[in-house]
This record gives sequence, C-alpha cells and structure tokens, in this order.
Amino acid sequence: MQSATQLAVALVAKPALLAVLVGVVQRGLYRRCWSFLVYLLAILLYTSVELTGMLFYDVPGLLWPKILWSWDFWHFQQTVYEVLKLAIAVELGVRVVAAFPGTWRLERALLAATLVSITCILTFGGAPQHPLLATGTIVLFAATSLVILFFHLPVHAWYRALLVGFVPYLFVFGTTQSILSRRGLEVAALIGSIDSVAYLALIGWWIVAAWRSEEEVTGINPAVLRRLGLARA
Amino acid sequence: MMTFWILGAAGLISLAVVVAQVAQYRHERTLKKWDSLLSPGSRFAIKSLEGEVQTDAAMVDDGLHGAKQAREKQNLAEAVQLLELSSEAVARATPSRLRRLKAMAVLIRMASALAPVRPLRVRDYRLRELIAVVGVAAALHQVVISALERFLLRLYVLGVGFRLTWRVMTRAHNRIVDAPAVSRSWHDYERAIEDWKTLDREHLETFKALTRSLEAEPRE
Repeated sequence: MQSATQLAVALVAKPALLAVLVGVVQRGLYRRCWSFLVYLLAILLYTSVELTGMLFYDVPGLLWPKILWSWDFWHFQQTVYEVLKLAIAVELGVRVVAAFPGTWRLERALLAATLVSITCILTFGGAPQHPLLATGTIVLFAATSLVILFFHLPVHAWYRALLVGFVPYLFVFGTTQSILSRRGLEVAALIGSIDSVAYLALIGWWIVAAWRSEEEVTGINPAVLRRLGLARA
Repeated sequence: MMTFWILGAAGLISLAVVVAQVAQYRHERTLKKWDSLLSPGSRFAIKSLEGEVQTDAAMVDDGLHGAKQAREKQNLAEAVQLLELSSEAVARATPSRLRRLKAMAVLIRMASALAPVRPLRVRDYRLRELIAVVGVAAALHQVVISALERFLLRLYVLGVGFRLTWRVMTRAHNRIVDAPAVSRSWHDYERAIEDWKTLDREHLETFKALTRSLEAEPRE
C-alpha cells in the first residue's frame, strides 16, 4: 500500500524528469551520453506505469494495479535502472577519454576488470544484486575519475555533473543502505525514508546541469576545443 | 556478510576517488594547459627548438673551450670563470628540458598514431651511470609492447639522464673550483657536458617524433 509521501514524490518527480529530458534534448546533451537519455526515458516510462498502479490500487475488481505496484515489478524496474546506470558509467568512461588515444588502454582495462568482477561476483559469489550493481556503477565512475586525475584530462561539464550526481547518491542509497539494513540497523530505515527526497534532489541537480549555460573559457583555440571534444554540441 | 563489507569498502574508496577528482579539477586551468600544448604555435616550434638546442650547445662548448685554453696557459682563475659560463648555460637550459619532457608525456596521450622511436644508444654516452641507465632502458625497450610505452620510457630515460649529467657536472664543477689544477675533475666535467649535449639532441628528436604523431588526425 502506498503512502501519501510516495504518491506526492511520484507526482512531483514526473514534471521534474520531463524538465531534465527537455533540457537534455534541447541542449544537445543526449549526444554526449545516449545512455542517460535512455535511462531518463526508462524512468519516465516505468514510474508512470508504477504511478498508474498506485492510483488504481484500491479500485475493487482490478488485478493489474496490484501487479504494477508490487515487489516483483519493483525488482524488475530496479534491475533495468541499474543496468542502464552501468551503461551510463561505461559510456561516460569511453567518451571522456575519446580524444586521448594514449589513455584508452588503461581505461579499457579498468572498465573491463570492473565489469568482469561484477559478472563473476553476481554469478558465483551469490552477492545480492541491487547493492552489487550500485557499487559496480560507482567503481566504474571511479575508474574514469582515476584516469582523469592521472592524465589531467579536461572533462565536459555534463560529464562532471553526472559523476557528481550519481556517485554520492548511489553510495548512500545503494551500497550503504543495503549494508545497514542487512545488519538490522535502524538508521537503514531512516536512510530509506529519505531516499525519495534525495532522488528528487538528484533530479533537481540534473535540471540545473542540463539547463545552465555552457561554461565559457576565453582565449582557447576553437580547433583545440574541437579536438578535445569540448566544442559546443 | 563479508561480501557486503567488500562492497562497502569498494564503494567508499570509489567515492573518495571521485571526490578527490572533483575537488582538484579546475576546468579553466586544465583547458588552458591543453591549449598551450596543442596550439599550432607550440606544436610547430621545431625550428625554434632546434635553434635553442644549437645555441645552448654553442654556449656550453664556448665556455668549456675557453676554460680549457685558460687552464693550459695556467690561468686557473680565468679558467674557473669561463667554466662558470658553461655551467650557467646548462643550469639555465636543464629545467626547460625537464619541463618539456613532462609536457610531452602528457601531450602524447592525444596522438592517435605514434611515430616509432628508437631506444637511446649506449655507445653515444660516456658517463658510467648514464651508460647503465641507457643500457637497462634499451633492454626494456625490447620488452615493452606498445609504441606509447616506448615513447614514455624514452622520455623517462631522458629525464633521468638530464638529472644525472647535471649532478655529475655540478660535482665536477665544485671540485674544479676547489682545485682547478686536478685533471680528473675536468675530464668528468667534459664527459658530463658531452652526454648532456647528446641527451639534448635526443630530446629534440623526441619532440620531432611527438610533433609527427600529433599531426596525424584523430580517428572519428
């Protein structure tokens, strides 16, 4: 049974996600990360379906709302989101180093090692899927950050926004919450209760990032910007 | 439960890496650095660098040549003064060579195809320390697989070489100032100067290889 807060968050999240989507499309940011566009569309689609389930849950005689507002559907939805987040992390890793062929080998090795580890743990380690995929995504983002740090690479503002938005959120509400709830600590429930609000804050961050004007750096040769992959989309 | 702790630790370390990267990242500074490295003015500066290498070599040689002549005439005070000129030329030039090597190590990441570089040759050097380093590097050159690794190895060896020759030169110079009549110190200094000039020419060749590599347009 849904709570009033869940319903309110679900209702507020839709226009907020639409604002991100419009910003991403209008500013051409989807060309910088296609996976994020797919992720946004998937959230909009699944949360709309879920909201419909919520709204019609108490209508007598209807069975389908109970399917859409159920744990099974939630697990399926979360798996899709997590796989898409992994795809975002991989695409971001590939795109950030695209202009720097000398860094490809290290980046590929780090991404491949992380993906193989996730697959092995998932297949043979018996680790719970959701926290594992969330942590795997964080590790993939960290691998890209490591390459950026190591080679002093320039990074587009949109990629930085995705890194800054996803990593803390996934760490707190993906990995940490799972560990704490497994240990039976009450703080896990507290973190769980603010998850929806934090997710709204994350969407807010994406709106800001998608709509803010591109950062201007004067005195840079446009040919260099193009070569670095940082020219305006 | 163990898996959870591993996940937690991996997540925390990853978070720390991302926070560190975000905290130290300065977009404008990074862009300007890459712009200065990639702008045509610096990329096509081979002519200017060739001139610089020749001028520095001439200054070093002139100072040393004059110092040796003065020493032969038993004018030790003048010999030491002229040696200072040679030493100062190397002191002025070495930091710029080291900075250029460092910049090349960053810039080579942009190249989509690398011009092959040969290893430094042991027979070109006269200082024992440097011969050992170059010998090891020549063996490593055969072991490392990619052109990028070979290029980076060359840059590293050049950097170590410049530092080594500078150290030997400084020591020999100090000994000459203390006792200008002792021949061994002069020989050490001369050998270090010769190696320094060879390294300088190799650094110019490396710069040319880098420029050729950068001229290849990146794949779309």
